[in-house]
Amino acid sequence: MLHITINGRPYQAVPNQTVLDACRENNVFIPTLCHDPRLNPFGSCMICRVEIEGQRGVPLACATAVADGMVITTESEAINAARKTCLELLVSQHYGDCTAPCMLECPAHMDVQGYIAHIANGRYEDAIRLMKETNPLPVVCGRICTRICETKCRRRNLEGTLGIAYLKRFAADIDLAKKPPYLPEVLPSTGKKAAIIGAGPAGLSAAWYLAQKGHAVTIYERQEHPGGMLRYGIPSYRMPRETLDAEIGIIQSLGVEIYYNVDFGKDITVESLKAAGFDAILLAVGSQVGYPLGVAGEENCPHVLRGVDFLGAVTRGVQPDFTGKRIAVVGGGNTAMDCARTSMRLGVERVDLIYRRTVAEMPADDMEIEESQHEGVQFAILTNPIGVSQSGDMVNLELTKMELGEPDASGRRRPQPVAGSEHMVEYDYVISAIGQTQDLSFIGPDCPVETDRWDCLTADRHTMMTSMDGIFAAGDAVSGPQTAILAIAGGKRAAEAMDRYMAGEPIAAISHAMTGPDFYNHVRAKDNADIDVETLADVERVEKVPMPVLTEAQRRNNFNEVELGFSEEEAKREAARCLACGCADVDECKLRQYATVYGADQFALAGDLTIHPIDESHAYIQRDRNKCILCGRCVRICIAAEQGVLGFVGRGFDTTVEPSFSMPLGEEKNCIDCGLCVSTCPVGALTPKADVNLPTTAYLDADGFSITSIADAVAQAKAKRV
Amino acid sequence: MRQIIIGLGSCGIAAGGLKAKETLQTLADGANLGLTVGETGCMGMCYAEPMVEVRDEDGQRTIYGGVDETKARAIFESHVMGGTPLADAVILDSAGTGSEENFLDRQVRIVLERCGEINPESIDDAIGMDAYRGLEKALKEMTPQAVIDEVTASGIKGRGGAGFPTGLKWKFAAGNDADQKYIICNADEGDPGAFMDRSILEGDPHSVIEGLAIGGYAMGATKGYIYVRAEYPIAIRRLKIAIQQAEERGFLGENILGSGVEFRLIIKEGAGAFVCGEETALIESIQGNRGMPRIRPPFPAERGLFDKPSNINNVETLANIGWIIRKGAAAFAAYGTETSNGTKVFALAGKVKRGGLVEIPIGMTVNQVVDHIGGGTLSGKPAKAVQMGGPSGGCIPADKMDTVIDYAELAATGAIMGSGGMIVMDEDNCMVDIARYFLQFTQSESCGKCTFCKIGTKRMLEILERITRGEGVEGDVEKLTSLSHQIKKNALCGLGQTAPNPVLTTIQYFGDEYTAHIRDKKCPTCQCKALIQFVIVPDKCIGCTICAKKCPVDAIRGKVKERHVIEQDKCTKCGICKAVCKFDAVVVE
Repeated sequence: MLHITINGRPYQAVPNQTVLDACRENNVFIPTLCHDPRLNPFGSCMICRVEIEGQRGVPLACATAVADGMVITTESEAINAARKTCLELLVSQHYGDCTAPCMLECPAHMDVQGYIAHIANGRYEDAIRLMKETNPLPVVCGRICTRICETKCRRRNLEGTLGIAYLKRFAADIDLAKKPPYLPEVLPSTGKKAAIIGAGPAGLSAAWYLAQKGHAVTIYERQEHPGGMLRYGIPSYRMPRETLDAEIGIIQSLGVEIYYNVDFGKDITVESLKAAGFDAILLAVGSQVGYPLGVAGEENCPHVLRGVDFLGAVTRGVQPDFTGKRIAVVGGGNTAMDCARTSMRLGVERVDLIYRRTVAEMPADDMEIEESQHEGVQFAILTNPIGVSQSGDMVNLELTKMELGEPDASGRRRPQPVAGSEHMVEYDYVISAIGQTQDLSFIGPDCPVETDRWDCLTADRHTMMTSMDGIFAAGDAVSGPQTAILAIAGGKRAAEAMDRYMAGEPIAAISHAMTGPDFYNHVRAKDNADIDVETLADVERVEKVPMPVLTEAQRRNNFNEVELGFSEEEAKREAARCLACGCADVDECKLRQYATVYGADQFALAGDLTIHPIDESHAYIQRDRNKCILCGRCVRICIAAEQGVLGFVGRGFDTTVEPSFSMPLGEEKNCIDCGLCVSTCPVGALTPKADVNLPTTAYLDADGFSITSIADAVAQAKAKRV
Repeated sequence: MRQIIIGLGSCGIAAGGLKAKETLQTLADGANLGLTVGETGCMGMCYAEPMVEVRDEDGQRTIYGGVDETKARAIFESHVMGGTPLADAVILDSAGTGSEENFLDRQVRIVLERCGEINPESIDDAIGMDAYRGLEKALKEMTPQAVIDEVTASGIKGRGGAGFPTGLKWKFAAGNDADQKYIICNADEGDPGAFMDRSILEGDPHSVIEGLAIGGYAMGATKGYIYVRAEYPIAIRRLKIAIQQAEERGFLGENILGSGVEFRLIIKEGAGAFVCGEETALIESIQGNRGMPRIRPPFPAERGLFDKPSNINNVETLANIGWIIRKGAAAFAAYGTETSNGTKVFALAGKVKRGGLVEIPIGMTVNQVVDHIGGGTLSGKPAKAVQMGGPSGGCIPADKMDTVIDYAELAATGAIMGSGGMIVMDEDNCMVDIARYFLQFTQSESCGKCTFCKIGTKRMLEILERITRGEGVEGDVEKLTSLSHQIKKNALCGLGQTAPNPVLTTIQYFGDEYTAHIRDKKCPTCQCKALIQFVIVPDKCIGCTICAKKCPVDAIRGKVKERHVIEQDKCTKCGICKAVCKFDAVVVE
């Protein structure tokens, strides 16, 4: 036994052991990319540099033998700076997406690429299981999600984005129709109780994940039915109520109890909940108070309605009679579109949508805008109300024309009135749909939670805990009126924190490992617009499969669901369009792990980049030179396997690893499919193709390299060939 | 009988030496007097090639330079036949006088002792000038240890650039027991502008063979390799002839000079990758693998070629060995400074009047080499800097050119002794562009193995390219400096570790030129095309139209006898207008 010192602490080592092995054996972290214990040290990545007392320079840990009394430093400012530079150089010559941009953009980080692949392969159960790991409401989101994921789809530059939500709905609807639908495993009861205020998307999401952990979950809902804004803020032609209830029913089937018509702050309080034995409380109270128009005379006009109130009234069937009426909807967001389209279904004479900027500035989804116009809503853009008065059954709405001036803080051009353009228009009803705020009337001595300057509950970004211990918050109450998927993501995060809280574990350090903001994520380009379409030249152009919808005539005067859903053939065709941007090696990639550890910046040393086509010619192996770091492990292991298929070609920056004569790997006769190259590749340059039966276990790679010995892999491969 | 000798190194051949030889041979044959027309290697004065030497019967030697066909006939008529040297064509004679006497008078020739003196294809010529005397002495009078001691005592350091003491290196190799050891001659000379090794191999291959044989005896290596790049065909041919002759004379073989010592030599031709000059990459290349450096340790002295203890020396180092053994360590150590002994061969090139192969005693100053031997700059403008050590070296600015040539003194400037490249630059050289040039060389010659060299030098090159295009931004110099230090510290081999040197020294000594490019978007020397424009000075232009006629892209407008104007959007900045204008009316700004 040799006695060595690593980072100031004594350790033992074995003679002839390398510094790298000695450190690993003693759980001291040293990064290495080019070293595989099955191979001799090579010295290409240069990241395992350490400092050894009395030695000149910075020796490589993989190639330096330990000696008795050796004093080793594995981390220092200089070492870490060198490692960071090394990684920034490597990632500057790397092309690909670690995580697919859709998954990254989704607030809930749904594994879009994963479930689409399952759908493409007809594996719908796998698809739903994967979806429900991050989102318990795919039936809902498949219909009403704002789909910001689709804005990042790399197909956007080609013939158009994927219909991600359509595909989600397809697989989720299949599951919903099943008896029973997919249910996740529920852990044994923990004996802990969680109370959730609000049965909207945030509360339901938290309930689903808390219940799976074995906690008893009770939801208290102020309204008479569950769903929150999914029910009271979204019209049923987009989100049919029975469908909504059915999906919520799946959550309830995990044992989640929901009590209705319970007003938090009145019927129940923090104190009463604590007294009832609840260990944690989640405030998921939403944002459902519509803003008034904000013009003089409004308070005296009973026919000026607030958007969310109007939608809620329609849901309950208590809305005013709109038959033959003229309606004005003020606003340009999704709620405005919902109000306008709902009005169109109530037998109106006409609906004017009044918006102070132009269509281009409208915050509503493009599709909602299109559908509104399609259904006959009249757009009065660059128009703004400046006064209102009730005159009998009619409302006199005073309007002014607007023009766009200089950009404001949001970057949108600020609208300003055109002098002398004031005019009066008479309507039966005016609906104000210009935004919502939160009803936080429960805040008081019983529940003194902090709020921010937008009147939102203050909650920690990672743990969702409010200023009060054990009281968490999620959804619109924290973010202000946002999207269902953001609320679902917040509910899940809160559930994770509440789970740890109730178990008495620290919750401060929750971070969302592979997709979290702190994890290194390589991108092909910061923005889709920066991607040269030439690099996608080989991608087959396939038009987006359109969603079958009711005709305009079929929609009139009813609330039937407009979108009809994909057939299986349509779903498979659409799913096959997915470019599968995310890297197959994302969870194992050493480059990504180290780039995270050392805080490497993809663009710090950016420069020329050669983009190579991906080699799919091999039966089992995908070869992507865009991700190769030239560590030479594949070259060396193939030589060690006595095949010598791969070698370095070229010089300098243009060096690549290629099969003989740079032929496609699949045409290389010396390749025996042993998979050793795949097993040793520390990044996603050589990966096994999905869904094929691999000839050897050398592909099966759990920790970045397989333990399969070179001889075993070669023997297996050769046996399979005979 | 008078002898006629033509300088037929690559330099002589390139300048037309073969034509001079053919002419003189025809004349000599015609005279039918039994005149011999011989050849020799590089005499050093490459700038004066083709050179012809006439040796009179009394041993009087006369050297003529710039010998074309006409001059050859005149020399033949006047000197060879008439016995009267062609006075105004003589550049040097036996008395050391002539137009070029300064070139040689302060040189000391140890390595180049026989270069330009002997016919390199004649072992008798070489033996006539003491070749293989050192080998004979070593085998017959000295133990291997005594040989190592003598080399150690001479103080000679590796002339390939790194300057590791040769005696110590031999001691390590000798100290490792093995059934087979190798001594390797590194003749993979690849620095741009360097031709020391080639000239030695072309002019006196026996000096290298003798050095290898002595080294083989000293360390117990029975096999030697000469790794020489295939772009040196003349050197390879002469080496092959020399090896064959040495075998015939018993200087190589199973039983050298009857001593019972075995030593054989194999020539391995390299494909010309610069990195193969790095010793571990060279070993890989000999073994048939891609030339990529290995991790050290293990050092080649422990595990080198074919995993056997191996010793690698540069051509020039080996060419010194025979002399040292023959004349003794003290004679060698008599030359040099306190820390560096002997001489050093330089390939003096660039904007110098007398470019060529020079061997100077260590301890001369850079200035003395450039001004006295080299005759100053070609343009007559002041020298701005001297680049030493090629892509691994650095630039020594004019105000530091009194630096003594010595390993330590040169290293203190940021440059290195290197293998012997010495490139003179004058005021017209843009130092940013020089740095870019060398980095482009190292980047394209990087083997692609280690991250820092492969990608790091590429990123540095991109920044330099940007700067010379006028697209430099604040912070570029800092980024270059920081990358340089990381690469120097972390690259795997000498190629990468030294690649940033030209950048660092130009930043150190010519930082204002970087600033001018980056901040003012100006190239002070008007070399970077993107930053300059050619304009016609109205007062000087007389409207002769010559520039407009010569312009290859029709970018110049103007009528006869009227002032001409260059259309900048068409101008490709080729400079022809400036070259053809007789009135200095075209200027660069």
